[in-house]
Amino acid sequence: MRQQASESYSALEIALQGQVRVPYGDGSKLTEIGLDSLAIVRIVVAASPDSEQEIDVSSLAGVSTVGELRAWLAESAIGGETI
Amino acid sequence: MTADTTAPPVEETTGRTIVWTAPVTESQAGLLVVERSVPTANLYNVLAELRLDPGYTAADVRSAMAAVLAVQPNLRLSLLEDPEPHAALGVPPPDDDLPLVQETVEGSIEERRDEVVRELAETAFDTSRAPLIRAHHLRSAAGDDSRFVFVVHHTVFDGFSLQPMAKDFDSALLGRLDTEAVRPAREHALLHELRAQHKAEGSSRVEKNASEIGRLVRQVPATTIYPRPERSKETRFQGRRRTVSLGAQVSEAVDRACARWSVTPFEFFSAVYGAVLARHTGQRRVVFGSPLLSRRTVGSYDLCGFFVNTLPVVLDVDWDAEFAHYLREAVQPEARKVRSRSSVPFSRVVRYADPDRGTNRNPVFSVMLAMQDSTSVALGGAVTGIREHAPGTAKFDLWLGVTPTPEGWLLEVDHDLELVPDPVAQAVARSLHGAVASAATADSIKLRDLFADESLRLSRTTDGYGLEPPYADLDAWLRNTAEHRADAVAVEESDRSMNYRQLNREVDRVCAGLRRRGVGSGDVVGLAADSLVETVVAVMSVLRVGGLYLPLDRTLPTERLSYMLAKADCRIIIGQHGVGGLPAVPLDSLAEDTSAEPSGTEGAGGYVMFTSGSTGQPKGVAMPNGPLLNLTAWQIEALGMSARTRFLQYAPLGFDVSFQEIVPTLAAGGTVISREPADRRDLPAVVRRVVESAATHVYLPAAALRPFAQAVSDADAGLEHVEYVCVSGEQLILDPLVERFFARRPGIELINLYGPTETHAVTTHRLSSDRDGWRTHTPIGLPISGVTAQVVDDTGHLAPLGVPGEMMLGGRCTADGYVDDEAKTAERFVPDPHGSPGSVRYRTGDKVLWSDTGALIFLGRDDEQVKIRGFRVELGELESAVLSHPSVAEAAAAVRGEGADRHLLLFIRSADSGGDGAQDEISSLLKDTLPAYMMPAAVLPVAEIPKTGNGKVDRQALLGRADDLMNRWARQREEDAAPASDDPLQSRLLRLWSELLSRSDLTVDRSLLESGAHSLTVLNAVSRIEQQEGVRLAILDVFGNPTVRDLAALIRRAEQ
Repeated sequence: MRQQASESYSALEIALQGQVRVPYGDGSKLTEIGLDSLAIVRIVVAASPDSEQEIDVSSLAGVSTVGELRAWLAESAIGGETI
Repeated sequence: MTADTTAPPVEETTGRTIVWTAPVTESQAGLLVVERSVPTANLYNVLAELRLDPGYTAADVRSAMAAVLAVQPNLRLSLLEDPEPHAALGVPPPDDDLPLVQETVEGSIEERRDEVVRELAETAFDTSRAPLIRAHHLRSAAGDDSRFVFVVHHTVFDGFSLQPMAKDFDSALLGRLDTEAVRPAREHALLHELRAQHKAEGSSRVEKNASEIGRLVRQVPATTIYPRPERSKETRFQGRRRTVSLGAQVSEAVDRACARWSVTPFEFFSAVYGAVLARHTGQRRVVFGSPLLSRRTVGSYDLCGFFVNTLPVVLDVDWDAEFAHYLREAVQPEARKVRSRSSVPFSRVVRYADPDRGTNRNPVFSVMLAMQDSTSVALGGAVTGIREHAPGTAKFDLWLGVTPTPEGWLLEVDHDLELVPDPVAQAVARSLHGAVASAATADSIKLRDLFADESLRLSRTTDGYGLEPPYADLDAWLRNTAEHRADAVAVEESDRSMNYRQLNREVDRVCAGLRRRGVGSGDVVGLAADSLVETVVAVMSVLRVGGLYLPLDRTLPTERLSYMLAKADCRIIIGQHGVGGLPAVPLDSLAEDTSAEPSGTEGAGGYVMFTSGSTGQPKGVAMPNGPLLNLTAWQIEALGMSARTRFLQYAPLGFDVSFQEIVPTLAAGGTVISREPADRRDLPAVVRRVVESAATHVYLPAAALRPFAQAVSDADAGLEHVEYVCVSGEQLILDPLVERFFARRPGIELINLYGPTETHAVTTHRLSSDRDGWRTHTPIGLPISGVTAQVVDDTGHLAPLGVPGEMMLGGRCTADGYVDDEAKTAERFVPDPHGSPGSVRYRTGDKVLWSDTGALIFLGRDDEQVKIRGFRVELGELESAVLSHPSVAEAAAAVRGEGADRHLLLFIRSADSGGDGAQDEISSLLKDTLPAYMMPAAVLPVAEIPKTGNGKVDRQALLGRADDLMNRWARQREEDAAPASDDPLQSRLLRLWSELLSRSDLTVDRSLLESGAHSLTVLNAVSRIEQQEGVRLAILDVFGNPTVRDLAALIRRAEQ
């Protein structure tokens, strides 16, 4: 699991860098770096290696910074469910 | 779930080879139910186009489509209902059996594409027969253009599906799609997603959220664009799309604004859309639906499919709030809350919302905002462009799609052509464009300032009639006409008449008398003359000396008349009888020898008319000469008035309509005809008078039109001389009887006029039998010449078409104000920012809108002013009157019923907890202080006057209890009253009147007039008595004998 979370982390970096053209850090607000909700979902999907993994996009509504997105993804990978 | 991907394909009754079956999602089931319940088979079609690299051949494209069908299992789903709703996955069709038409286009490919889009839009899918897609591939003959146009059913394809579809098509054309490997993975992914969807649907969190959303939606009134009366409840779902291109500059400003305020584009556009909807519905709280992505598994993001839940977004709009504040504090939290509930199926919300099903529209919201996926494609690919096309249908009254495109944000507005006609949709699109630009570019802006004035030109449009007044004032005009028409009859009563020479001489003589008594310019003269001739002489005399005539109706309570005289500073009354403690001067005594005196030339007189006032006393409106001159000039042309005109003088002098009957007729050189001997309430007698006097013009209260038409029909009168029937006073409601009346008399035009006392008649709408467009709720039309009618919406701007707002009247129509009431005058007569410098507009308090064809439609009032049979009543005046009784602690008046049945109710809370012992005293008090038309049908004691959340009297709650209270009150009256009659005729009459007046407390000796009978109910009663007893009573006999015992005696005498 830890390894899976770590993979997600680096996949997230790749996905973020593919979408975001401005400098950003953990405190950057997603809206300020040009990410709308669909773009965030696409990043999450791109950062999730397991196609069977369930992601609850409704819980992304409360995610507003890059740091929170990282945390959400890590949590999701660990706590995420495979049906 | 019955799916088993390892099982061999099975043959089902459809004859298709089935890979697996699975239950449909709740969202899919909901969509299927909605689709089955509407008559439009193509309502849920999605239309789109992929632009292809033209280097690919027709065969390449056919293979690519086959490959896409192979790897997109949703495009191979059939949706079946037996034994329960389920989806069946079929095997991919062979290349030669694809639902694909291919053609080479010789001419314009765009034109052919548009034709194909229209053809495909008509596709009626049978959702039980896959594949639910039809495609058309167009390739130009020159080989330089290639388009793949397709229609697909929404149950298997949401907005997000376009990108996976385009991506697969691209890969297939490029030869990079490994169909053999991808197909089983995708079929598995779909099955996996369906399982996840079902699991989510069953969660308690979804149930709880659905219940909360349902409860919220129940409390929100429908968000109705173009909320006109007679708005259709059913629609044929025909739609049209209007595109709003923001352009690069505004699009970039939107992106910058989103970053600056840390909001998503969805939040930004929701905020603007919410404000636009609030403006265009006239509501502060709006609700719109928004589709939310509800895919649950990572693998599903490669699939086409229907994985969205549409949920309501509810926004409260405060016009004085800063946009940024509203966006951050109201919209963003709401948008986040809605997104956090994206797992809730729409059908579950509907279950909890329990909405009104009296329409075939979406039951929860009628407007939508859809954030669309990007239409961008990778450079250098085989698919070079994506575009979604308008379906030509409208699932919602209004749908806004927001799409990020390489050129910037694209806004598309789909509208239902019946409910939101083109001109209204165009206005919405303009508001949207302006508001987006203002919100994105202004650092700080109030919500109301997102919008601009819209209907300035319309507010200055007139009905096309009217002359420039040929004289400087009314008197000059009247003198001139009198000179040229000296021997013609000016005023005609049943037994005498007066020609223009006599009239002019008499007016000069009375003016001399008035001047001798010190009456001059601006002085108020009370009029209480007995006959029409005397009245006309008096009116003209006051106009000539430059005074203001004040009509005095002697049937009004003395207290009220005294107040009017004092308020208007009236020191002289012309007539036979004193009024309100002031002695009258008979016309004969005023008329003096004028041979020694020059005729005066003041000439610029007007009138003062009193109208109900909310503070407990009537308000006197001072109308000067200028507006009346303009009205006269308009009316003479608009109503075809000339020396031939014979205008029936029907209205009481205290109604401004009486001016229109008398003065323009005299200016035109026609004849003013007395209504008498017919009583105003006796419409059959009025009809006889119209016939025998050969009247050409009749002007009635709107509520009297139907009884008038009925009386004409009963008398079988042709009314050959009548050219115009005018009505005003309240909303004109047409019915088949009235329409037949005019259809059979094609020479008569019906003119609906509107205008408060503060301005006189200002707008008109005319109907003739040879024109279409007779609507039950008749428009009030367009302003007369010289008048501007502005509709000011909640934002404070001139309202676009279809937007409710307050009617403000300017130009040559406004009164000088209220006599002796500067504060009230300043409140209602306000500077007109759209008029010439120093000009004034009158705030009517009437709610109106411009129709899509540019006619004004009256919607009602928000305040406490009501109309009872054409009489204007301020509820506050009635309440104030009863509060002067010491036993009444609190009072609330309300109006109940429609048309001729409309009546006032007065609810009182007693100061003494013991109750309602002072009923008789209260009735006497009201009779002594109020005119008869303001008398309530019942005074109902209540323990408490209910209040709304903001502390106002809750009249709706009181009216909700009215039936119970009325029954209790009637029972009490019955107990107090004498027992019902043993006489069979009296019993029948009691029953008849009880039904007509909706009262069960009538007795044989109680006055029917005091029990609520009025001219219209009396007319009805006479007709029913004739049917029931075979005796035709005269209406005046009923007024003269207003008890059941008297009526029975009358009938018996007639029978003998």
